[in-house]
Amino acid sequence: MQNAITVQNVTYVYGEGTPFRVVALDNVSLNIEKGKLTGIIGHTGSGKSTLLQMLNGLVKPDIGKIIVGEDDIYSNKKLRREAAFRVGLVFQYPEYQLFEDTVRKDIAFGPKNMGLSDEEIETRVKEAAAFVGLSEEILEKSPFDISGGQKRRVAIAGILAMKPDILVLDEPASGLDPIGRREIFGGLENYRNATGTTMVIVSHSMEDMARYADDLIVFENGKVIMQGTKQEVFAKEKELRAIGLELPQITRLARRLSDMGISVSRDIYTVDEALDALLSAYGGGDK
Amino acid sequence: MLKDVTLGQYLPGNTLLHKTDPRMKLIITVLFIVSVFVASNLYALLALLAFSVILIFVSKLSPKIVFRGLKPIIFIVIFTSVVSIFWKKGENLLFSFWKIEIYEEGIMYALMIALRIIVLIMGTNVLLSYTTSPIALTDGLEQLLSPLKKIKIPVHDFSMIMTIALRFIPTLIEETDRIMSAQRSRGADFSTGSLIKRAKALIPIFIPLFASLIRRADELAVAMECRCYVGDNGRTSMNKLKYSARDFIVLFVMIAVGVGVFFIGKYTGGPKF
Repeated sequence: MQNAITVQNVTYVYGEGTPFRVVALDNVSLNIEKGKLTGIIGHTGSGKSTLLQMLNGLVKPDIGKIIVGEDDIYSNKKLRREAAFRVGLVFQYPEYQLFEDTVRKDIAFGPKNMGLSDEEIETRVKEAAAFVGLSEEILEKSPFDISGGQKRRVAIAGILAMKPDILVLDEPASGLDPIGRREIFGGLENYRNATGTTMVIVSHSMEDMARYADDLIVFENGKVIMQGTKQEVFAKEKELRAIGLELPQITRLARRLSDMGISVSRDIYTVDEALDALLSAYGGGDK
Repeated sequence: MLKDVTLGQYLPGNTLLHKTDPRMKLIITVLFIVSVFVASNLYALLALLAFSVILIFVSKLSPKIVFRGLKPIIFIVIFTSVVSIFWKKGENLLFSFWKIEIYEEGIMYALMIALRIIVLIMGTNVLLSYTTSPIALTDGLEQLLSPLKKIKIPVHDFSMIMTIALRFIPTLIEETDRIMSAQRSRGADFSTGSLIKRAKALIPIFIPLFASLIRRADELAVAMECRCYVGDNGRTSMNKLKYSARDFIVLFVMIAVGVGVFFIGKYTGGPKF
């Protein structure tokens, strides 16, 4: 498989030379495969957010390289600036970065900075809004007058409209209710199915990761401690639990059943999968 | 990045200076500043410099950080000393060219001005900024000024405003940094183009920043009211400040240094300014 992003031996230290010195990333190396959705899990302060900001040219690593496609993006200024367009980064709580007087203009901010034509911008805004489920009517409203979940989707649409090769999201659903979460992840899934964009998502929620990710990377204290497909990482249940990460409830249930001798797969991540597995284990039948 | 700005300069520690009562530290700092201006010749200033260096060691600060704290004043130091080299006239002409005349006194004067500024900033940084937490500082200031309450000056409110402002400076910097990063990752460019273009580029930073500041202020006000904050009426404090013997020893040392500096200046030679 081709790599969309390669991170080579990256180290980053905050507050060097003060008593507040913190090693945010400690000799981190990882690969993000093209076309896959890679989940990054780890506790607050484990270095995930710093890494994300490195991927699109915002934070230069103290040591090491970030390679996007073929290019080492910190090797020159032009590549570093281009990285912002190639790797779309959605920050945590992105709704706080909205500023225009209408939603439409706010989504258009990124594409405008790319120097696209007006018609191109218009079609991109419409496309992006459709992916995240924003109606034509909302496009004319002020971003300060809509609900929290809608704001979040506007902010994400602002990045989608830039059509980055790689989309990076930091906790895209944090602080939202279950419906809001589903809308966000549903929108991202639509976008991914339609465009095949490589995605990187940071999340605390093992449930969300289990449901949507292909590959997983686990961070702990600035180091990558696990890296592989979802199945490979979730097979190491004990190690995950040792750092305080629990598998999704439904996966644990399925594994328990499998331990009890019921023929259910050990890699079940959603309630629907579990239902199908149980039905077939007990001789089929309709839902 | 903005994160490198050291505004909340407090460096936690457990030394004599860290433990000294903040009120006493404010008094000592005033005495120190007075001493800097009482010091009338080079020897007196050197003595004060030595005293500041001792303070650095006593408070176990890394000299590197203290020197970094002097960086912002380098320009002022160089500018004022260069100006005074050319400006100060004296008796011993060292060098003259066209209308420019440089006297021995001028060089001495420049040296003393430079030293005076450096000692002043270094000393107050070590005495206050680096070793006193902002909260302790405002607490100390409030209590020190509390006699002014008698003449209806709202000392408590001022100190609360100061505490909150100090508390939110790092948050504000972080927030600005975050919004800038977010807009930069949408392709915003803050560093190129004409002046007008750059000013316009700030709009995507300021609007979200103000929106979030207002939101924060609102949340803070509600949170304070939820905890029954009603200003100064009958408010007690959890950590009552109390002078200990240690504080008076420190005060005594400072007074001794001040008097010492005065006499060094009086009885040693060299030009006095």
